[in-house]
Amino acid sequence: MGSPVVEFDHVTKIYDDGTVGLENATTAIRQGEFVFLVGPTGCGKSTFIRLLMKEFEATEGTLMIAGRDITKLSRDRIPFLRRNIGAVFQDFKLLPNRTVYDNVAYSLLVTGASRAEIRQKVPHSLRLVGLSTKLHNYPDQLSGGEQQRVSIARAFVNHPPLMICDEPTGNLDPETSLGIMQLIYRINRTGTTVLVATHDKGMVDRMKRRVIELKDGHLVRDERAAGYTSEFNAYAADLDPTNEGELRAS
Amino acid sequence: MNFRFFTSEAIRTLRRNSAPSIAAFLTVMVTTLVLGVFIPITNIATGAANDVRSRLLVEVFLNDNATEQQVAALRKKLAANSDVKSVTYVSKEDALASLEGPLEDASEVLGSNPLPASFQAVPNDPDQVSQIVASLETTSANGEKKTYVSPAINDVQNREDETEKILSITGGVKFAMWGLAILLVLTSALLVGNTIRLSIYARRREVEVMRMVGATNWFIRWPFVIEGIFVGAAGGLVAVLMLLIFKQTIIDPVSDKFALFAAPETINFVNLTLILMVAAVGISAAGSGLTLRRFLRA
Ligand SMILES: Nc1ncnc2c1ncn2[C@@H]1O[C@H](COP(=O)(O)OP(=O)(O)OP(=O)(O)O)[C@@H](O)[C@H]1O
Ligand SMILES: [Mg+2]
Repeated sequence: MGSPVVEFDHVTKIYDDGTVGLENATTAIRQGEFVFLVGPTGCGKSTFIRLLMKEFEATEGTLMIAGRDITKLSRDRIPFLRRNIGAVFQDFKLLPNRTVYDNVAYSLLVTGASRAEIRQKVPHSLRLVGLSTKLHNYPDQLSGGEQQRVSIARAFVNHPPLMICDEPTGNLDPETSLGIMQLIYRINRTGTTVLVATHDKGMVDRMKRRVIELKDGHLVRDERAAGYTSEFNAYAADLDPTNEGELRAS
Repeated sequence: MNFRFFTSEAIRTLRRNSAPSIAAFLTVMVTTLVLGVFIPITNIATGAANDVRSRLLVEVFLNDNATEQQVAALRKKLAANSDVKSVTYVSKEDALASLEGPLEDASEVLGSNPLPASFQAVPNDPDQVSQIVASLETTSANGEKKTYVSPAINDVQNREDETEKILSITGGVKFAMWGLAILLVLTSALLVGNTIRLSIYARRREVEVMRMVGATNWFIRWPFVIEGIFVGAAGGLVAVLMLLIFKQTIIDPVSDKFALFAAPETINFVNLTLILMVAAVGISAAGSGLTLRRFLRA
């Protein structure tokens, strides 16, 4: 296993109104891992993820990403942290006035990428998620599953070392969810560390990955499922897409 | 800084999401129009008030038996007063001549010339009239007997009642005009600011997404500011064009008939255009940039 990408060291988050979001959480996620974050509603999954995005400060403890303490990160460095984290959300969070292509291009534009780079990387990323034919559609012209694919293409286009997904299949039917989870798994196989918060127990059980369980803001379980393999080949074959393009390690 | 990109971003929003921008455009246009009508009106009103005030003066009537030296000394004294702008001597003959205009054969009726010679002192500031009068009077220790500083003076008049009336009325007009102007400018700024706030509020989720994928605050802000400049310039321009048409078709043809419109202090159209455009663009752009700050903070 690789070096830690994410390290929580006694992290506590108490919201302004006194609600405990996360309490005294200590854990580490290593490079290349695929980790599920589970637990009942209100247990602190989103809090865990939003702390990583530095949407707000931890009340206590230190939180490291790639060996850097992000609790000490100054406000104007936050955008640079986020460029290294591909984020996927339940509600997709696409820009409504931009085409599929421009939505993906936006996360390259913010980094100051050249036009040549954008012309090369955006179609590539959209091919990976199987949306090559809908480059010029607007988000409201796509199905939920398609919109989530766009958001995954956007999260992956910078090839971030870490991808975090907050209920990526929460708004999707089981079949579509499976396709989305396959996609995330395949991105993980390119070496990207992946953290997925989800309610989908069936999915978690089937994929046999490491599971971190939260309850009332506390970390109550952290274990690798039986049958966890580092290569995950057998299951990967099971998940292999039929006609959704090809994901290469890059 | 990639201004071409930011400009194309601004144009994209204007094209794809034009309803809030049109609302902002109309607000800027209407308020600019109102300001454009009000500024010249303020100008004319205060100009007219100033014109009336500038006619106020202090008349110092001289004794017929005053010596030349006394008169010369008094003239010097008046001229040396820092409140006095200019001093004019009106001889007995001048005074009579000015009476004879309306009153033919005045001298025949009167037999001799009863009118005194006088100095007419014009104040620097009409409000200083009473100070000038005071500077010519001395009050004895018990404060009862009023005398003048020069034996040449027979009487000092400033048409006290009239002066006070004129000063208070014109002062009131100027005060009211300035008060209205400030109120109007504030209202305009608030109205434009609020419209922009609403249009940005409608896009706050978009801003949130931009932040989520790692856009810096200025990367998000510039297109909004440029959009504000476009909207402000368009609103201002249309308003100025409407004012120009209004001026040329309605005001100019009748302006000769109304002395007020020809008042020399009326602002010229080029300056008015400049002020309005700078205000429209400035408020609109600053409004966009400042409103966004709220959504960029967290
Ligand atoms: N902005 C906030 N202010 C106050 N309390 C909050 C805020 N966000 C979340 N909470 C509270 O913190 C706790 C954890 O919330 P969190 O959103 O992390 O749960 P979750 O595990 O993501 O739930 P779900 O599965 O429903 O998404 C909850 O009790 C919630 O009410
Ligand atoms: Mg949640």
